[in-house]
Amino acid sequence: MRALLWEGVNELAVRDVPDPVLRNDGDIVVKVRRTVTCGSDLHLVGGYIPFMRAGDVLGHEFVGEVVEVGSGVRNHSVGDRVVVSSFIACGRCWFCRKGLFSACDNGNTNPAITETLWGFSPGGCFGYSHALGGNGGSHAEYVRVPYGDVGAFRIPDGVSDERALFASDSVPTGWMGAELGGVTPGDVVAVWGAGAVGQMAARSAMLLGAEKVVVIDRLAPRLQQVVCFIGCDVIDYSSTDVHEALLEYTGGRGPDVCIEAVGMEAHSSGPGHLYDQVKQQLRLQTDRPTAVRQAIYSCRKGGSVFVLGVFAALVDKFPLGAVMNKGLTLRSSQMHGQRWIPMLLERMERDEIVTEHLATHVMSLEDGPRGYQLFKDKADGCVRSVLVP
Amino acid sequence: MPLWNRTTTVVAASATAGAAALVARRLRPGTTSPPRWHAVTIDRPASEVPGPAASWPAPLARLADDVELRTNPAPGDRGTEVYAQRRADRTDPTLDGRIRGALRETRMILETGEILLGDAPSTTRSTVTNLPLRLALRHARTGGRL
Repeated sequence: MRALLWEGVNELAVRDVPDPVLRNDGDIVVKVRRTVTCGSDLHLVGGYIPFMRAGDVLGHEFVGEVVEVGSGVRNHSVGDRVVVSSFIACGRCWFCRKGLFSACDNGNTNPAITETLWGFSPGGCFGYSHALGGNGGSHAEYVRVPYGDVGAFRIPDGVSDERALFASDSVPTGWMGAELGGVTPGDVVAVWGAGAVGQMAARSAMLLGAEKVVVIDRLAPRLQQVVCFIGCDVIDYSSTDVHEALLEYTGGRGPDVCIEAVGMEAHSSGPGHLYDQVKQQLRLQTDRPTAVRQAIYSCRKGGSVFVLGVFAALVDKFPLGAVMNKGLTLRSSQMHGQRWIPMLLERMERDEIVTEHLATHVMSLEDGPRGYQLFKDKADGCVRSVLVP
Repeated sequence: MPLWNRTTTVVAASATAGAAALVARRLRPGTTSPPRWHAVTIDRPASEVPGPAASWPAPLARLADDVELRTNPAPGDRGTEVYAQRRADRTDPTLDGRIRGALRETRMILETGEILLGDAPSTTRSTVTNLPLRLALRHARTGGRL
């Protein structure tokens, strides 16, 4: 089959690779119909997460059709149109039972790497390095899905592939930020990052009853999408002092819930960005936490900060004093998709969540490297590049 | 297809190899240290986990002659704690790693019914820069902090 491969730091190529096969009774094999670039892939492409091997298939957010099922699969049949959670979870361990699917004890076949790095291992993920299992990614014609009964969900007839695609990762990630961030009716919520995850976090906050929601970014096409498709307020940080703007937006209180949807390659408009970038390039810190710092600083006393963006290891100048003295609740997680995807598909069917506008660039799998280039450069208004194998 | 400038790539590639080498070194089996208990908590009640080591699922049963085993009910609703350590007279430096791997696989079997396997056939190829990562992956099930 054809697949988009990581060939080395900043090198991608589409080549022929062996088809995936069923390896466990609970596996299914899915023929990919749509697969999409994610901001977190850029950390792999750029070598910031150093656990890729030449030939690894990228991609973790996808929809497709079931073409093979293992002998232990009960919920799926050949021909099912499914969306698959990006995180691989067994559904049977204590963490899965508690809804913490991305913390699954059994979903990562290489647990020692992340145990060594982080103390304990999260679950596995498609196309997201050998630290998270070395599983083949979805930027391919076919993908093996372990624990298929747990991680794959039939798409309702009323939901298109184009919409359901984002139920694989972006929408549940955004929902998680709002729900686990503790959004309640009447809250004021600020979201850093107007990419797909940030937009979905904002929409989720609105659905959970937030009275005012504002999204912060510098990219005009994304901010326009927020206004047109999400229907909330925006702040352009390249021309506005974010903290002052948030004080004014909240009557001097600060947002009740702050959701960071940017990650380890954050930008900012001040000299802090240069400082962080130099330290990251010299590997004196692995991640640039600019947006996290700002969210902590601007959050109201006793408020909640949720970190949705992907971070790999160490950050510098973390404002722990603000967390402690303001009494903030700081939470974070990888995405517990299995917990929310069925509910989110229902909301998609009722048009409460729309995602088609996120797919600004749709192209063939063969054009995948160009899709990543556009996505990385944020060129031509690219929010997400969708690949069609 | 080159996506960024060459300097960034060289720095990133060097750092990548360096970080993976560090992990590989941490995961390598070391010299024999005093026995210690390795533990997993299995999300099954004590009534559903076996008694003597030989009656456990194959990964742990294979080590029955080399390990001491004990179990405890876990607090709350967390299932059963399973502890294993090599017998004091066993000096094989790889044994602790094999115990860790066996505990993980035993948990998988008792919780899900099977041991999750990695993808095959592989799509990857060996390069000089991914040598440290390949060394780390040799111990990806048997290393770690367990």
